[in-house]
Amino acid sequence: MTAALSVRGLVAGYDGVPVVRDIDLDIGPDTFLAVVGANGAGKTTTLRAIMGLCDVFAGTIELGDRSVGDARTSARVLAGLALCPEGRMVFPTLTVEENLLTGAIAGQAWAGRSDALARVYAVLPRLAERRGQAAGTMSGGEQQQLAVGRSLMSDPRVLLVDEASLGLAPVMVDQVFEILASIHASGTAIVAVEQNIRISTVATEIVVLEQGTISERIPAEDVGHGLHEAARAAYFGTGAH
Amino acid sequence: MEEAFTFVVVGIAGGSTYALLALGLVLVHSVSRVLNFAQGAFGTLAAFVAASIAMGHDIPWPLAVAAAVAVGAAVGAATAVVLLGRDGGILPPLVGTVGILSAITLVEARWLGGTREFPTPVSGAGVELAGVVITPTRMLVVAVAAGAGLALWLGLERTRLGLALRAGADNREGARIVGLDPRRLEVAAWTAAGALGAVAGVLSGWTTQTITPGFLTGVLPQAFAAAMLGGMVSLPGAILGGLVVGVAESLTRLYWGGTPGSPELVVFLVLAAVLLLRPQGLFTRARRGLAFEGSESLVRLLPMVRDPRPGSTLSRVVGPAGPVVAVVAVVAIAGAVSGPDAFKLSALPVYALLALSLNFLAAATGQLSLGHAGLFGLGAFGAAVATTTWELPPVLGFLAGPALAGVAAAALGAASLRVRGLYLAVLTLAFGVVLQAFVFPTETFSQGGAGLTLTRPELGPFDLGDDGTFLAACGILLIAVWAVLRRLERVPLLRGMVAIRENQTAASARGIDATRLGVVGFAISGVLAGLAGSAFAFRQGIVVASVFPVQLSLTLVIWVVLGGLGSRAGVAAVAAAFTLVDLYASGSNQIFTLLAALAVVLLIGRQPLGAGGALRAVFERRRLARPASRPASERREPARSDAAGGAPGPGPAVPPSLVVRMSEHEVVRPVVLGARDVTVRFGGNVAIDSLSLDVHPGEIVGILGPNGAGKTTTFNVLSGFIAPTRGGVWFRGHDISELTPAERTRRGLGRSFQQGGLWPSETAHANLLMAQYGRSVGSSFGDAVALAPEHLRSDRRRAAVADEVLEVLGLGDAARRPVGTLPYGHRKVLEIGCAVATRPEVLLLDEPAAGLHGAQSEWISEAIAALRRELGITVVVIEHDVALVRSVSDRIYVLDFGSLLTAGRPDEVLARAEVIEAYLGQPLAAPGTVPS
Repeated sequence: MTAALSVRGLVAGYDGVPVVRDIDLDIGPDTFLAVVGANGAGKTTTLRAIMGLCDVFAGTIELGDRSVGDARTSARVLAGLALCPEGRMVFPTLTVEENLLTGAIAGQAWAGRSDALARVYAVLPRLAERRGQAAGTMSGGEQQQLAVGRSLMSDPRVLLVDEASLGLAPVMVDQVFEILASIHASGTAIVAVEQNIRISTVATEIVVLEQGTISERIPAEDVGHGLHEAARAAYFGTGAH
Repeated sequence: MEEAFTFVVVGIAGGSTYALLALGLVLVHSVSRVLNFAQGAFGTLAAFVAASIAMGHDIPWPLAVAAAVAVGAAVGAATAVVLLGRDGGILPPLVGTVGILSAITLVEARWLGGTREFPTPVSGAGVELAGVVITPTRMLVVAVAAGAGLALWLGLERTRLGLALRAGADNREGARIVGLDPRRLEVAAWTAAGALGAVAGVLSGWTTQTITPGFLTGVLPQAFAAAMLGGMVSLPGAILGGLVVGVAESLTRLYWGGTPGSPELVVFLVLAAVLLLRPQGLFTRARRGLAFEGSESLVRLLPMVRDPRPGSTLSRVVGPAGPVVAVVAVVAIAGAVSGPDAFKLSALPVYALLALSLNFLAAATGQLSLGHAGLFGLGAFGAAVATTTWELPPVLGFLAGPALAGVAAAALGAASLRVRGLYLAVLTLAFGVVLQAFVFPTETFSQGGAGLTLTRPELGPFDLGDDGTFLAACGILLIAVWAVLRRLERVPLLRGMVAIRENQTAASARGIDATRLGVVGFAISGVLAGLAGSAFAFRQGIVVASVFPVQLSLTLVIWVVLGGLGSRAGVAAVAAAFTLVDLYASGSNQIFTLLAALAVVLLIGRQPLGAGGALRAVFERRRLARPASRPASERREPARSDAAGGAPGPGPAVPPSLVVRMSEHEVVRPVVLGARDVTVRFGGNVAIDSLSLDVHPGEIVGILGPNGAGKTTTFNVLSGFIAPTRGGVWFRGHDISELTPAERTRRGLGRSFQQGGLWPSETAHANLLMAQYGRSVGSSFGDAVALAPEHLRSDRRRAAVADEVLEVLGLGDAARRPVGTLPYGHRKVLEIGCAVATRPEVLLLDEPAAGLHGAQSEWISEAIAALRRELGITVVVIEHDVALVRSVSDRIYVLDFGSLLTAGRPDEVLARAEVIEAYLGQPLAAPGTVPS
């Protein structure tokens, strides 16, 4: 089985300063990888490096059998990556439907945009109700759904999700995680960066990121065991209790 | 009434040209954040091309117009390719468009036939509508404009590219994430702008039947005004704005037509009213983020703030000797050159001085004036009126110029408190237009068009009527101004201005108020421009309105940017060089001028800091090559004399000792800082919900909570950056809810930021000097300019304190490097140093250890403990590093979803299940499995 996305020895950061070091990730076509860790551990930087949105100092990024480490962001989208960014980054004055369409704006996806819209509306019916509303006037949870929906419009092979739970009430968090689970079930590989370790209820694999490097890998069969302890040590400082 | 209707119709036809230009401006600004001064030039070039094709080759007009639109689009695209994507912010592309404007105008004058006919393709009797005859040309103009507007609207609303452009204008980062290439979007927007400009050029040509080189340049202020009425973002707003401006102009001609310049005045008044009262535009709702984008400083600069202490022995000798040598040199040159050359050369110091005045404005306030020719003119007319009409003595008359220009500039400075950035630039542009078109032609100034004459006086033994003597006098004036500007760089006043220019948030957090300093910066610049104007008036002997055109204002911006913003030598040299070319090499042959314009276009942004920046880089390299710039003994010279007044920083200089926790009963003490029932709403979202907290003197209090819990918002309320929807803040027994952040800092409530509390283009040492400004300089003008010896001494002590803090922070080696170039860890540490330099009683630290690891993070906890132990500062700290907070805090507050989850001693609080849950999410299995 070839990996859908494979990252080797990634060193990346901003303004010449590395934030993450020696990151290795293997995402199979049916992987749901959760990357957990405290604030500042380098989770967002890892995703941005994969998308080509920050400085990469070393390492390779391969999508299928194609190396995308030097490609522009637009080329990576064409190759099958999509990012649902931290802070949603929706287009506030565009309507919900227009926001979704921007997700299909690169490459061939444009031709299949009406099918993609139908697919997204099926997964996220709330967006269908709001299709004519300006995105900036929606609540945080709805904007999060919109950001997820937009990233699905290009029908990505690998979906990168950055802190989808951020700022959402607990009941909304579960709802967003369930949506991710259903996207995964329909055949899209997912890499979800999270501070909220409830993500492990839906993930198939987990890595813990600490101070810019991977400190622990928990394979699919062990998810649910010992995770809370590991994460707790990472967040509250080792040696606590 | 019928007459009024006719003028409305005429206004709509004229306004549709403005609307098309404004649409182009809005498109370009939305996607590239650039004011495109070449917008009109795209149109004039297209019109000239159309005329050449149609009339030279007998090609039908529709084809010629189509070709013209293609040319406009191509030139727009080429402009984007050449000017964008370079380093240096948004000013270089702006200046580049000015260069393109000049180049295109010259090409039209020399190679495309100059003034030529532009016949309208339609003829006939016209249509009578409600008693008014509408000519076929007007109908055609309105129809074509409407068609172009409709095509643009359809393109944006119905096509993939249109959606991409709107997305890019709405959120650049979001556009990148969905896979759009920002550069291609920019090229697309500029292409459309070029096509729109071309249509505007053709329509304007049909209306006037003749075209002259650069004929749309004159209406650029109107187009900018139209775009601004739409808030610079709204396309329908730009169309409406164009029509409003056109009709307003036309009606002004009807009712107030006798006065020249009255239409310009009305447009300016409308624009000023909109900008000052409703900066987001008439037709758009306020959008978050937009105001901020419009407010940013337009310039990126070299470090400006200098150490107030005299430097090396060499510079102590050379410093005062420099001006003397310069004066001797100027006198020698003036004696050597003969009459006509002396007269010509006397323009050099005048224009250098004028360029320096604009340079000072940009460097001190970060704002750009496009109306400096107007201030120059005010100086000239001020001197002329005072000397000739009022018959004041020549010296007083000479000073009337700078006085008048200074007052006018101060008024612009007052406006700058409300409108900044590009918006202010457009306001100053309109200001210059009104002066030139309305104020200067009035009877007082122009004497019925004849202008004001004045003669150069004799001053003691010196007859200024002699061109050589006058050249020497102008040179000495320039040297004097130069010396004053040099001195300014070493006094607190400039530090305060730079602090505001560079980072207004940081400035207010360090206790510096923007209000007065902004006005002072503009006033100084106005005085300098006025001095240049006065000198110009006496040089010419006659002052007429036509010599202060808007084009001169734009030329000044070119000089300043090419010379290198903030670099006196670079700016003065470039101004002198261009003036020389103008005096000796232009005239009949404009090729040289064209080459200069093209050079501007090609060079701008290649070296973002201009000629001065390039020179300085060479010097820096040489200085860095030397082992040490200052002997250590000298740096220590002023001694650690002022421990009480200063702020020795925290850190490893004190031996690390155990963190001493306060005992429980000691905590029951008066409240030094308290929040009562604070609620903050952003729109519908509640960021903080009835939060109360107390801080006792001498405590270290930690605030914890997951992302989005409202921690930083709490700090923003405490320090005054956000006004709470409900509730209040008390500090040392007073309600401080109504105070500004700067006032709170001056009372002893300091804060640091996660990042962004520094002034990145200034050195670490200068940052610490600037941080001391608010609390120590306060409101004393004498102290601000360090005139008296005691002020100078106390300012030098501040510099010594800054040295000590750097030493304690372990940043001694980085002292003379711009902060923006320092590693992240150093910036974090300096951030705390700057907060401490305001001598706070209570210090709010916002994530001091974020992004730091290992030793650096440990150093931060040591430093926090030392702040209390050594300096008696009460500390409130927000941190994600829970272990750090646990180790340093006496008490901890935990926030979640904007309200208080729990509070108490660190170990107790962190063991609580609800705290763990807030951080990690709900437990996976039954609550019983969560270890406690």
